[in-house]
Amino acid sequence: MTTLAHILSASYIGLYSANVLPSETGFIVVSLISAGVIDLDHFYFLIKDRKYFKQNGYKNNLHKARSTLHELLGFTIVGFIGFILSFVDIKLAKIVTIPALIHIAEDMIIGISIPFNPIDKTEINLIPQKTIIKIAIDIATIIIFGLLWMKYLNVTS
Amino acid sequence: MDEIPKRNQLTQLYRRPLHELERVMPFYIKDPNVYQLLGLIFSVLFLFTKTNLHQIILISLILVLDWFDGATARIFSLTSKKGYLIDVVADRISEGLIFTAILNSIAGKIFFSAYLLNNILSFYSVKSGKHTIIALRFFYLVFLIINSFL
Repeated sequence: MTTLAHILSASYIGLYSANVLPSETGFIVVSLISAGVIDLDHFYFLIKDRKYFKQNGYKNNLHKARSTLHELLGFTIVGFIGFILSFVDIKLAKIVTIPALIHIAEDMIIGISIPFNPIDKTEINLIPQKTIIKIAIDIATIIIFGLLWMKYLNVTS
Repeated sequence: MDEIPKRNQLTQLYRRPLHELERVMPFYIKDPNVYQLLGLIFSVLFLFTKTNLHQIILISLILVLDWFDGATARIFSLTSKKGYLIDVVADRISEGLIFTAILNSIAGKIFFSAYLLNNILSFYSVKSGKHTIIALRFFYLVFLIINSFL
């Protein structure tokens, strides 16, 4: 899934479920960052393993360009951060946790993942890994959540 | 881990009657992953629930779908290590979403900390070959039902 689709969908779900108002711009910024920041690990692996990707291509290999943060271990770390934050500010805890969890969940559902990395390297996928299906999901997500974002932000005007 | 981790004998107390029941049930969808995906969609919907009743309905649905996915895998001989891993991961994602939604209450915090423990237990189960995971969503459902009567 593209980072844009992740950011639009995961941050919207986070904001909506935490009842954040469109005027609470601080929370909106945090949710956008939380929804997208995990994808930064791709850059590291794309640069580090550029020879591998040049030889084997990116198609069906992009799951190899991510850290354990994208797997169940990341899910646990994000959950732990959210748990600590819940004692300080419950809204902030939800805004930090939900978008990140949704992002990781989306990647696990749509792509190939190695959930128990580093202790087990078995690759799993929930849906067929056909490019056309992935593109369709991506476009549908961007359109649906793009419209929901427009509706959400229009409340203020 | 090369084989599917074994479950505790104690769980057979409730699993055996379910296994008997699933043999006579018709399963029109034969792909376990479909039930997993539906369960995950309902888990996302859980984030938007406002009442106890809505939560009870959704968790019941999620648990039934979780049972269906295992049942179809058993009936149609689709059980595998990959299937087990998918099941465990989907359950943790589902729990993560459910228990983040209720983080604002004390009970929610207790369930959330148990969910974090479940994540660690999932790694342990895969590493040791012994399925040692708490049925947290079931316990939360029981908690919700008791709570709605009090």
